[in-house]
Amino acid sequence: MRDNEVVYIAKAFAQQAQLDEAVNAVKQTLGPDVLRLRYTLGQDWSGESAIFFRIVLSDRASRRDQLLNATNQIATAIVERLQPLEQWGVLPYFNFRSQSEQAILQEEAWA
Amino acid sequence: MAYADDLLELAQHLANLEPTNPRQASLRRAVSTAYYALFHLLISEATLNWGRSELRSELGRVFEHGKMKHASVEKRSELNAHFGKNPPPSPELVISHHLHTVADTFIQVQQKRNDADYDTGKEWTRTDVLTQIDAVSAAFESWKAIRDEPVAQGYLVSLLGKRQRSE
Repeated sequence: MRDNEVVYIAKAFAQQAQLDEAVNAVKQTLGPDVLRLRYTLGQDWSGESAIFFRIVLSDRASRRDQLLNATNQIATAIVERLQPLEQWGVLPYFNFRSQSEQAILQEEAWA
Repeated sequence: MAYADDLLELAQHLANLEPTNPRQASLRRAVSTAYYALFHLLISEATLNWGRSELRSELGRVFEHGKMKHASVEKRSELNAHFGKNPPPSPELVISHHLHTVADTFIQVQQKRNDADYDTGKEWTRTDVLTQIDAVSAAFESWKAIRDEPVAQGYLVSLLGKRQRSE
């Protein structure tokens, strides 16, 4: 049986070099509390195209009284400047860890 | 909201169960519980509109995770487009920001719940877990601020999914 259904590929997957550039440009604007910004493209739990950000925060921004404000500001800035869904066709998800936690775990994916 | 509030409190307890070196099991259950706190908050608020209280629990089982996610993605996109037009400050704008907080948090923490429950290769940290719990706490506060607004009630209805009616 022939299947002529059009397969939609999100721009983020088709133009990864440009996405890299765009993410790096956004990283430059996020301030000193964002020590690392990495990402992976994939699918979320329901199969939708997604971008999973991994962000290492300074220990100062990771303090409990700063954490919500800091993570909200960072996520909002990335969404506004990168427009992951509108411009790249992927749903954004955010993962955070502190500088101290990453120093202990030494995960390459976050380095 | 008592059950949802209790779940959120439990999530916070689990996240801080071990002061140092938290166990992955504790962190994973904390994330999952935080999601279900928001999930049950929204469902209980929606079913409160059903006049026959004895049927609310049954009605609540109609809600599905996927449809709730889809509705939240649509609402967040709609609000992002609105914010992009730089609307002037107004009470309506404040309401929109609160609703954005609720919808966005639901999307984020739902994915986290899936990771926490099924992706055993993922290493959780307390920072990531507390980020989710704080976000859910903020979503609770935002919801309380707008729960009687028409746009908030419309969002609750949308969580049931799109209309599908054939001839």
